[in-house]
Amino acid sequence: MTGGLHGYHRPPASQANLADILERVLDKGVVIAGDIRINLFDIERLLVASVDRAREMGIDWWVHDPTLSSGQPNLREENRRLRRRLDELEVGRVPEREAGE
Amino acid sequence: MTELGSYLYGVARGLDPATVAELSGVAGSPVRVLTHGALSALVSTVNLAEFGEPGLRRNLADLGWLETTARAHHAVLAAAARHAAVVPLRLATIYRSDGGVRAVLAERGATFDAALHRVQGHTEWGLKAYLEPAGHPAPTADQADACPPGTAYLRRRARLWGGEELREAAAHGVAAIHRAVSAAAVASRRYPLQDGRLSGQSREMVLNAAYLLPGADRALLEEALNKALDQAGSWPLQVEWTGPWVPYSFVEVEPDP
Repeated sequence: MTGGLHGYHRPPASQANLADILERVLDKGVVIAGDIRINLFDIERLLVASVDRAREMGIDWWVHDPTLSSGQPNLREENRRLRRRLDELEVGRVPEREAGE
Repeated sequence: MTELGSYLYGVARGLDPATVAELSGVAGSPVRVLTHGALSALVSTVNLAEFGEPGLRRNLADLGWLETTARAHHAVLAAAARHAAVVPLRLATIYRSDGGVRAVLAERGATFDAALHRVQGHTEWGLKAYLEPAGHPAPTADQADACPPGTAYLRRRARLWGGEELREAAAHGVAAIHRAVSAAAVASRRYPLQDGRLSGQSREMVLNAAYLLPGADRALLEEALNKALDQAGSWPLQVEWTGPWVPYSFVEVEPDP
């Protein structure tokens, strides 16, 4: 029997796949602007674009399934992104350290 | 002339630099520790031809490069987290020098302290659920007998459901599971569903969630999951845990006032 169907036995935690890792290291974690400016939206867009090119993938990977979540999580997600964007813009107001080369 | 930069993986508290001395990080670079008070920054020296703005823009569009770099980033944080509390930074946080990293530790010390305080002693666990494919093989008599009373009937019924009904039952199951496991966790969040082409999964995903748990034993979460599963038993779902993770999903930092 595969996949721990009804939880009557205890399956081990599975190996993390690429999607598990990317969604954490790209979209989570503390966002602090470094000296090298690549903003969050660019990275997400690049990821989708790269996958598009490589595997003709749609953008739905980033979108909550509307049949499985109310509108609320999407709103929270949107708020979170906007807060982050604000954070990045605020950090961006601080004069950049000169490269010095 | 080779221009170098400092790649920052994350910030730890109480980290013995010796525990990460053997690690190799992004682009195979050794991992170093820069300290400021009780805070330790995990860094690697990187070539800005690869990690500067134009190079990074180009490389991030290359799925192979992205995967290698993401896995290296994750491996460094996971290794450090075995020895100390760690707050992960987003992939590709890069400074022009160690001085830039030290300045961030000084300027954002309170931010890191607060995030470290929140996640110290906690682990993150991922829970994924997949739709059981329609028309999956019927359970044999033995398997049906092994199920609790009623389950065999429900499973036979589930097998006869059409795609829409299967989906609806799965959605109910997902909501119940997430509610139950969230109640046993300190915090929870749902991720977008993964595309099979990135996850390598042929099954259709219906839940992708993360939970924050005190300690490193997921038994508490599993107990909640099993209880929810036992109560219904007929959801056409296959569930899978990942973890323990460094608490990536629970270190959100509010912008400075």
